[in-house]
Amino acid sequence: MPERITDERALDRAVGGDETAFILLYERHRDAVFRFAYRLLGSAELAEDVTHDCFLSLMRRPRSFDPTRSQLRTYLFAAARNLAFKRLQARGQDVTVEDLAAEPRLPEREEPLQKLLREELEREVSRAVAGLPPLQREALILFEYEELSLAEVAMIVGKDVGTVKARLHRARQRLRKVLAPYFNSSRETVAAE
Amino acid sequence: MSEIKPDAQMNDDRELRALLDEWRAPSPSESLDKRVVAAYRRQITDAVQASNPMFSQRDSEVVKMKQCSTCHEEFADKFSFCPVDGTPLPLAGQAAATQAARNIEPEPTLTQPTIPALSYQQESPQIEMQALAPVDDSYHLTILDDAGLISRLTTELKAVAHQSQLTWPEFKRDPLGFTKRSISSYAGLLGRFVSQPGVGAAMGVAVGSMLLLMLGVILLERTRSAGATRAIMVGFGLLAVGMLITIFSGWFSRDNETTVGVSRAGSLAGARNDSNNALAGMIAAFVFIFFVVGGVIGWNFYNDWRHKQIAAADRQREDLEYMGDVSIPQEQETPKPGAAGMNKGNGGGSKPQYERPHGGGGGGREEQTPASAGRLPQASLTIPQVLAPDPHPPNIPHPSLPTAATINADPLLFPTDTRPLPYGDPHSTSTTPSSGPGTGNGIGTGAGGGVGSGEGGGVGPGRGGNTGGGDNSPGGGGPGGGGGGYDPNHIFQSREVTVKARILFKPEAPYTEEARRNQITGTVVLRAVLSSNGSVTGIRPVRTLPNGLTEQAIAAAQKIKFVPAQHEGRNVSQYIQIEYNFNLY
Repeated sequence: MPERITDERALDRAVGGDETAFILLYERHRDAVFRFAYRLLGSAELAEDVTHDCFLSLMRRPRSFDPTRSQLRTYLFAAARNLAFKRLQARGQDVTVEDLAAEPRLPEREEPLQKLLREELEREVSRAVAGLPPLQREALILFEYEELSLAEVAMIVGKDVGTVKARLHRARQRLRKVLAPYFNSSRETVAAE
Repeated sequence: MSEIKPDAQMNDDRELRALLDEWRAPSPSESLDKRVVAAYRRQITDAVQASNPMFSQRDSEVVKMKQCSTCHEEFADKFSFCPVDGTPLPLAGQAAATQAARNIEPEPTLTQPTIPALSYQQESPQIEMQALAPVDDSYHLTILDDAGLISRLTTELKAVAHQSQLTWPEFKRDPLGFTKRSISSYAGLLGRFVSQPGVGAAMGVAVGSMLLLMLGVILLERTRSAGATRAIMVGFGLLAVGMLITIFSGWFSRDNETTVGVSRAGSLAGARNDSNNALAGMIAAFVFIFFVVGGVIGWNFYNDWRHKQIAAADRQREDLEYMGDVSIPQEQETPKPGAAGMNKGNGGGSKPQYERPHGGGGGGREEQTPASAGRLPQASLTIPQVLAPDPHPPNIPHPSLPTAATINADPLLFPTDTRPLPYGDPHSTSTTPSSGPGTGNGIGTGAGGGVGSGEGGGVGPGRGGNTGGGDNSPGGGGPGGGGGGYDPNHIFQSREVTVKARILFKPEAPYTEEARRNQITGTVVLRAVLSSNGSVTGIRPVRTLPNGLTEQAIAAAQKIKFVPAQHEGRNVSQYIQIEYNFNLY
């Protein structure tokens, strides 16, 4: 059995014209990058553009990735973050709730009522996350959704760990306030009173 | 809500995370995979082309090439079958993908690519894998062709034609760039050829020896005496041929030696190692110089042969010596068409053939004194006489439509006289202004509107106009008259003249009181001749207006001052169309 090919090796081969290596890299990181961009931008279409540009920029300037400093995934997140912010700036507005609500949902086999409730909850959560300021939002997405460590998040956003922690804290506080009606504990508290 | 339990924060965090998990992101679409892979391929092909001198970087739109598995030629993406042998061509990038698949083993967790868009990699035909099977570079199988020279030459020519057929679309798309790239690549090829060991030195030797030969021939040519040149030339030629044979045999013999024995020619060339290269370089140089020198010598031989032929043709006239060629014009200059010029002797006139002019005219106003001396009015054979010449000043001091006096005669015999004299008989000696005792309003003793003793509008004795006696008939030619080809009566269209008439002053036509009262507006169009003598003649209305406006326009046109048109350096008459706009505001 051949040993697992590292990202760095695959990248070297892909830059040298090895398509399989590129596909390998792409499949490894595609979903994470796409998810991150989607949650940041609130649009699958824009997220696809960002994913596309992100991998292409990696192929175009492979030297800008330094394997001694970070992992490829961290690098890709940072690139996707920059591209996504560029797009947000170009659009001249923050992500809107309507954008998120308009996204098609995956068809699932659920009970109609349950499905309705779940969809409502999902919409509310997405709205709450989209309502966060961009810097808090990206910290939250990277930490909570992509489950990166604080140090990795700090590297991606280019700030120190303390700043990331503060942003995460503020984001959580805000979410707790917005999503309070959906907290089980709060409901229990209300019932107990 | 008054108190918060100690583990409430932790619970909150957990719940928040659970809530956040409710927002699930969709999966990226398949089209994204296709887009990314396509972009990657484009990127890689661009990079390959950028490193290839035959393709410039801006040719990014032609990036995909397919390789035929049978003939190993590359074709543009639009071909689905090989134009050479009809083999189906693989999809663009498929070859590269299969190549890549061979080189890299997918990771254990991802043994098969999961992207559906790329699943053709598994479906690629077996033949592709065979065609792209690794080739060991250390072993080359060379099949030597035993076909004849002609058939091999035909094959080569066919290959060249085929190549040009393949490159034609590329050339058509960007001819300049293609030419540039071709030149640069061929220059690179030549540079590599020359930079091979021994080639430069061999070429130098070849060119040097050839130049020496030429120098020798030229020196011999300079110093040759009449007698023994031929023998010296033959001897020198033999010597040269012998030298060349020596050099070549030296190369060939060294080629056959197995040891590193160096012949004199080899050491002279300084190329010990690669005799084939040196030989090729030498032959190339010789062929080039042979063509140049051969061309010059051939041209000289041809010239010599031609001179000898001419000399042989002239040899029967022994007393004549050949001095050189004289260029004789192919055709004699053709006389200009048109009328003959003015005759200085008898006769002459406008007609092209020689003919004596006849006719004459005369007149007078039955005055007692003989006709006074003066100039003749403008002569014309085509314009009928309206006003006979009169030596007296005009009765109407400032006529609104002045009319010039004319005589009916050949204008070539009586050119326009511009002297500031009253009209009169040029042969008279009388100075008292008089029209003479004749009748019919002319000048002289005859009858009619002419000048002189005859009858009619002409000059001198005779009848019916013109001059020369007898009944009127136009003259022509005459001793000394030929070759003129200039018809002074011809009126040119404005496009026929070389220099158009230039209007210096064009007065406005004033309204008449009547027209103003009747509110007449519009345009009067006149056609007139800006004649060669500076006057406006032959005014003819083309479009008229009532109430005297046409007359006003004609009067204004007559006051036009202009520089006459020119044709072949002569003043000529030119038609002109004049418009006068009459507007009331």
